[in-house]
Amino acid sequence: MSSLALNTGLKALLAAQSRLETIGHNVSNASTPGYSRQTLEVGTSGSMRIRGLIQGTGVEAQVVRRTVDQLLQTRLTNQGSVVARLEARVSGMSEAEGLLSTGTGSLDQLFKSFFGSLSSLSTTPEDKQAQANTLQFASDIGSKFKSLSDGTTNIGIDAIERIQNRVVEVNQLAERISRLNAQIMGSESGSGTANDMRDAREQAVNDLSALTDVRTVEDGRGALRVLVGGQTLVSPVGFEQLEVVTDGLTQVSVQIKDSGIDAAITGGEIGGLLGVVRDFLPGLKGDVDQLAHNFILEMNRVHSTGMPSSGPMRALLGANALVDQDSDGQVSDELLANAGLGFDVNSGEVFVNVTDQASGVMQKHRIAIDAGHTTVQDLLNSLSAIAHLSASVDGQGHVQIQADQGFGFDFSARLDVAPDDIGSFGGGRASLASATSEPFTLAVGNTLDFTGPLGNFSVALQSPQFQDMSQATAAEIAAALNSDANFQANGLVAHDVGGALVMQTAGSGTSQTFTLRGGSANGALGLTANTAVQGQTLGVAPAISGAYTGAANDSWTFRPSGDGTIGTTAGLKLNVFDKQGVQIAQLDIGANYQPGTELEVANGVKVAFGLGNVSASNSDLFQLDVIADSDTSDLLPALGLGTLFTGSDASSIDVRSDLVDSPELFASSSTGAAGDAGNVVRLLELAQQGIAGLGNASFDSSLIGLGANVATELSSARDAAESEDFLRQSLEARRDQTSGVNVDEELARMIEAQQAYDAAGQYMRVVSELSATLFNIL
Amino acid sequence: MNIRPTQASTFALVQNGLLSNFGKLVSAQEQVSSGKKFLRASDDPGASARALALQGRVSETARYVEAIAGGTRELGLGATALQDAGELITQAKEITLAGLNGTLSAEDRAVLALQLRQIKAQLLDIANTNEGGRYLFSGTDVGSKPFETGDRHGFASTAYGGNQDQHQLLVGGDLHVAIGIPGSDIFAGFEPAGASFEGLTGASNGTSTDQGLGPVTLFVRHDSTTLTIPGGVALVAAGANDTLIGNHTLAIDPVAGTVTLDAGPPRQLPAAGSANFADFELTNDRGDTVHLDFSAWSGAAANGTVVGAGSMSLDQTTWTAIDGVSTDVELVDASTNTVLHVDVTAIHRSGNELVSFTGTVNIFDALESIADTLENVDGLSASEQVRRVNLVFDEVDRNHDNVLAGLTTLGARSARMQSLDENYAGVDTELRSQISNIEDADYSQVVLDMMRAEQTLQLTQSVGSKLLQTTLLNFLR
Repeated sequence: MSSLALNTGLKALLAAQSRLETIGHNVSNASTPGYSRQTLEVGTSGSMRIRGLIQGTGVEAQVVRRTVDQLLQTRLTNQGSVVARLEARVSGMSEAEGLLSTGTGSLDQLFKSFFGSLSSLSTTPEDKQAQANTLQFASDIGSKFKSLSDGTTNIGIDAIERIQNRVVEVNQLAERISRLNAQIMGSESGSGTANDMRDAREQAVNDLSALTDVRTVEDGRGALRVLVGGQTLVSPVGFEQLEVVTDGLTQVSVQIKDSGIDAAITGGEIGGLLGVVRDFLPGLKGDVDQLAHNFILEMNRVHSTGMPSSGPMRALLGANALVDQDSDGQVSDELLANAGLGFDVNSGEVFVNVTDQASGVMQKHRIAIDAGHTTVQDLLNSLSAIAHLSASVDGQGHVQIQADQGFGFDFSARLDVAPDDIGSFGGGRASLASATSEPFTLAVGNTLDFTGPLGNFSVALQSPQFQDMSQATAAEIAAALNSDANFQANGLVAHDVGGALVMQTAGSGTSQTFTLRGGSANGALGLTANTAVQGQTLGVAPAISGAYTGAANDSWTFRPSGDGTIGTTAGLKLNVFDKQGVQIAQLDIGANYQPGTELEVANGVKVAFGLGNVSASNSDLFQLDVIADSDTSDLLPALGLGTLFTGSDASSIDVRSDLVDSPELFASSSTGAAGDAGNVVRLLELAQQGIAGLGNASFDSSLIGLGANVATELSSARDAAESEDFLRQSLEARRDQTSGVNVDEELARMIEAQQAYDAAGQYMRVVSELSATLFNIL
Repeated sequence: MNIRPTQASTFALVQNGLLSNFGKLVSAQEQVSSGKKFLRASDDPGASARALALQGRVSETARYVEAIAGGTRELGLGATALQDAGELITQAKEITLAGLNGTLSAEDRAVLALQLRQIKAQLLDIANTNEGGRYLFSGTDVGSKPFETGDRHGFASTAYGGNQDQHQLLVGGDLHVAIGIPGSDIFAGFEPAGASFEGLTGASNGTSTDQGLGPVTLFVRHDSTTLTIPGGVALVAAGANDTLIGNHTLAIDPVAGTVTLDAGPPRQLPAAGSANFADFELTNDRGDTVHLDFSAWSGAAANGTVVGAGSMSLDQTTWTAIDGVSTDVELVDASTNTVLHVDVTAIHRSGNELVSFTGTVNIFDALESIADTLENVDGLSASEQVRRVNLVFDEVDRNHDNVLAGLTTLGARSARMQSLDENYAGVDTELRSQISNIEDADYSQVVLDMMRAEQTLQLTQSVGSKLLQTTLLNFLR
């Protein structure tokens, strides 16, 4: 009896001891991260038949179990990924928000300062100090755009560096989990569970979830398969390593090492950082670049079509280089619209004014740009064809324009104040014009017969001089006449005036005469045979004043209603036609007109005439270009000719270098007069204007929108991070409630175990006394 | 759910409570110290964007105010100058009126002429006012002196060299205002109304329209005289000193002892042997003069004709003969772009005929011309001088009106600027108060928030410490 009883008592002692040990293990790990509370399961040990009785043999400790909710563990892992992803995103965005922060030195303040300085400049537009001040702010805007661009790039660089560090951590964790897998499989191969190793593995998976999205599957042998972004990171038999493939700036991806397979990580800190580098930063940079691009374009459009207060320019060097697209060693054959420029060149027109600086006489020239056809060489040819101007491309691909000594040029919309420089409208020269305008239907060999000072001669028009004789232009006929030896010898010249052919004597005065006797081309040109024309002492010299306020470019033609003397002939009128030939005004220049009086034509343009004879019979006319936008093609901003800024986006923007050196080149004037603030006002107007390239938002509101977008995204990401973190905390609380250790509880159990131990000891004593009693009897 | 607090969950709970309450306290403290409701845009993206948009409008307003300040200064300078100019012209008019008084001596007139020239010089200084390197009255061509005086066929003529443009400023969304008035509008208004002749020589307007600027001189020259009269009376020096042009009658009446040119007045015949017997200057009521030599006179009564031939010119270089019948002779001076049409039928004498292109004479030329007349370089009679002064006096008036009109314009612009300025001041205040409503922390609210956060934090701390202290261990002995 006693041995059985003693054995039963011993078992009870051992079971209580085991319970105490488990409690000790729990208490000592109460604050170990990832520790799951363990409990000892005890049960009765087997019974045996003794003396016909089936008797119990006491208690025995069976197994130590972890208290763990596997489902909760999985959710916690996922939630950890979500929170870490959002927190990484918030930290990236916060840095970006810092870049865009408002206050001193911020871009919006610089915009304000820049436009403020323009307003101040507008009151003294020729003041060099004020010009330098404006340029300083322009330069500050450039630097700020650059620092925004660099700052954005740097956030990306930092994020990529962080990704690289985190990937190292992922690889360490993968290795650790794999090792634990092997250990767990080893320890559990017999029976029981490797509780503490499982806890360690769960903790490793938890750590991993803070870095990336994680999915786990446990196989029957206790090994855990860990999947990251759909790829196996840890398998029951081994593990993979991740690697970062990046250019260090903007391109980054995380791949399974040496396989080229993208790990497609979307969660965790790495997922969050990848999102910042791949989506958020490019979006922000794109927005900043778009703002910079449009700011440069709009400012340059206005600046390049204005004039320095010192008047026309002698030379200009394009800031933007043409690119040899077909790599044939030359840029001149490239289409302007596809020559690697930062801005688009559109179909349109550019007006170039060339001024004789001694006399102040200005000539306006139009250059048509066809985006589909005009090549760089075509442009250079058109520019060089203008008298006193030459254009070329330098070795770096920059277009340069140079005026002859004593001449200057500009691209302003200012009116030609003396448009009839050749005197085809009652000028001093004997002048005869075609009654009709181009195109003229000529045939090969058509003639024009004249009587000049040297007698009769005839000019035959030949096909090589024309592109298409049935569609002859006034310029072609004029060129054909001017190249004729007799025409030259008789001192005659021909011109194209707004599509009409004008033939004149070279000299002026009443002694100048010639007669158009006839010729087979007469009919096509609307000329009458035997028309004699004579020059006069004082020309009518139309004088234009005012400023054109119309919305679109136009070309007006002025013709007298009859023959007569200005200010004298009763009923003499001036008819004005627009480009389409529609009459837009009729002015009285007859007996009621006092010579020199300004008459309003239309849209703010005024004209005055001197005394003299005009002739409708001789088709007197003059033409005036009225310009709302002197560069509808954006050629000047594209080539960087006379611009305020160079570059085309936030990373390349800068103030044109020669402006910094010579602030007086700032185009503050729109007429060339020093005190004219027209162009400054045009620049100022841009401050409030809706910009087409920015969705009709102004610069200011576009910038506010940009900041607000980041702020809103950040704010919502921060809110999301907060609420997800709250969820994580509550999941963690639940995990703690399930698997955590309550020391009080353990102490209570300890007392229980202690008492059980005491009881077993007591029992042992009783059994031992019983045995002693028995021995004494013997 | 059964709540089973554990060591870890209790720690986490206390820790979270402490952190979140401390966070609230810090945020409240941030608001108090910065005075702003939010420090970062992401704290309240909507409000921050609204505040920025309003700040944009504040700076827009500031730009307009800046332009207005600059413009007002320029307007003020212009108005002061024009005020002075107006007063000077008034003085000039008074002096001119005094000069028209027939009783004045030549010396008195010369003094007045001197005063007029001084006024003209002062006016020129005003018109050429230069403030900080920019001329006030040259349009937008601020680097060029607007009025320069030069010689025009012997006349000190002043011409405008600026442009007609006005300095424009942007003082509102699309509100442009012009600031300067070109000097040409003020001192040289151009309202041509044709040529007027003073009437000295009898030349008058032809039938065609003329073209010219300011006062010009029509030079009428006497070329030769032809005398047809019986009785031996002859011309002196072949008529070289005569002034008469055209057909005139001569009557010698020995009975009355008079000789009469045209309608008179009759003149006493010189006594034989007297000083002027061989060179007798005979003048009619219109100042036409012929010199007669009576040395070979028979003493008989005689009636005859004197015919003067002459020619005329604008530039004293190109001369056109006076044929006595043409009603529309065109004279051209290409150097000044002047075209004058003359009816020569009534020309009766030589002389410098003042022709004024009405409505084109600037104030300087008008004053110069009047001073010239008062100095009487052409040796005119008092009535001829008066007539000549009157010819350009209207031009002084016209220019005076232009100066006053300019002053009114500047005044109106100043008033407009001022009202805009006041308007913007109001807008600015309103915008700033709106921004303050959005951005600025409400102190009473924030301080309350802060105190609440502080109390909650303290409560969390004390409860937390109790919670963490309490364990069964304390009671196990």
